[in-house]
Amino acid sequence: MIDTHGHVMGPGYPLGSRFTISAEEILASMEQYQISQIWLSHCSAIALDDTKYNRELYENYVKNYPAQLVGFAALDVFRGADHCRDEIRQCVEGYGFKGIKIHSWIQGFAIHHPIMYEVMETAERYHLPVLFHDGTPPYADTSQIAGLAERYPRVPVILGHAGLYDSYRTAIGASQELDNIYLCLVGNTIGSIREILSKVKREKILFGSDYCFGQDAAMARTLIQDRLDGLMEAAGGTDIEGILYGNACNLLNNN
Amino acid sequence: MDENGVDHAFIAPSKQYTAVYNREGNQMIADICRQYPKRFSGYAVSNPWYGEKAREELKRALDDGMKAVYFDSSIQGFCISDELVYPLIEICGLHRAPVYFHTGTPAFALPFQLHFLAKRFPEVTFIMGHSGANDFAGDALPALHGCPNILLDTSLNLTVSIQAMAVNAPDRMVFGSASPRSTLSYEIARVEKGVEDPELLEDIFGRTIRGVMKL
Repeated sequence: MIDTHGHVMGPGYPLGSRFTISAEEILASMEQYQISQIWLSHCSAIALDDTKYNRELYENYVKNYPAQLVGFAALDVFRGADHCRDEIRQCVEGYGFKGIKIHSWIQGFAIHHPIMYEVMETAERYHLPVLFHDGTPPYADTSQIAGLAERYPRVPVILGHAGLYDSYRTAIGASQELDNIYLCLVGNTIGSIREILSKVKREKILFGSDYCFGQDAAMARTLIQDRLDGLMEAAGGTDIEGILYGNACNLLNNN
Repeated sequence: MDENGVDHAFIAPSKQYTAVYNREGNQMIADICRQYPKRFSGYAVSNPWYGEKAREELKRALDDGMKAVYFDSSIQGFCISDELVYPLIEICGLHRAPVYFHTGTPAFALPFQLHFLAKRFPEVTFIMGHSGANDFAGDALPALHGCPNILLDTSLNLTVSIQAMAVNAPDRMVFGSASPRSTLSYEIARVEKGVEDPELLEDIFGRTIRGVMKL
């Protein structure tokens, strides 16, 4: 199984949090749920300092377990386009990261900004998928992100929550309309997942958990199980092998 | 329900029946409740944009045996705290009918909007549908402050959110499945994973809501 939507916790997010998680704790959780690989971005890189915490993601996690722990670079777009290009280059060429993570809701910026267009152009140059938090207006609405994907048809765009509770039909429509949209099933209701499974090409659907975003050790223990239970119940015994593994492999290998 | 050990469910009209065809939805639910009075109780719906017609329909539905009132302001098109809904809440108060509001959908259906409505109508019991899940689950507990008349619906919440409710507001929790958006089995399992105390589980799975609804 591959979990395409995971996070390393560090100081500062959520506000005042001191919860951290080690590579070994992540690997233990992966083993418990038979997850062979997880795609990780660092919460503190999203919220505080992208350069410092992207480096920490590499040094303390990805470097020692590159097959299991795959790095996604978070970017502080407020530092400008040049910074973002440099940070992506460092993360890809220096750290071996495989994608970019954008959380414009937490970071608080409009994604249809020229700086984000430059981020997408850089992603295209490096053949990187871009994983977005979606489903949360005003900065991370699913349609806004789909509009960005439409502008950059050669960049795989992962809707990190497949529209969450209220925008999943926008996510379904976008995935049908645009070849480069992938839906990551994180946080959808069972009814929504059923509808996604019935209307979206299976090869465009990914499994994710959000492990262990924004919370503490308690959430880390229960989150993956919550997500898996929901997917299994929605799938009702149909074949989800590709969703759990093959589609994620193809997405990284094809880029 | 039989498969999951659920002996009674409160059911509401959904989608077009919540937003537009309130009378048809209410009659549909009332018919089901009359057919299976031990298994189902009904939520009435009424869209406040219909004005006087909405008030008449709500009174009619409550007189017709509906136990409580259901709003989904995200599809009915108003903010929970909008004065537009006050006349309907006044009717709920007169009928002693608890009021369920869907929450979790910006910009129309948020926990703190319910907080301010609940403060304005302290005699009415409100159920915070889905307790703000997904993105506003963090607002659910703070929105209880100063509002002893708000209950928390467990539906659509992750285990960790249910754990937080159990620690901070155990007497406010009522079980919900949000079926068919989710399933009974999945939602029951979230509560059982999040709550260890068997007495509290009894409260969440029935005792609290039975008291509120006077079943």
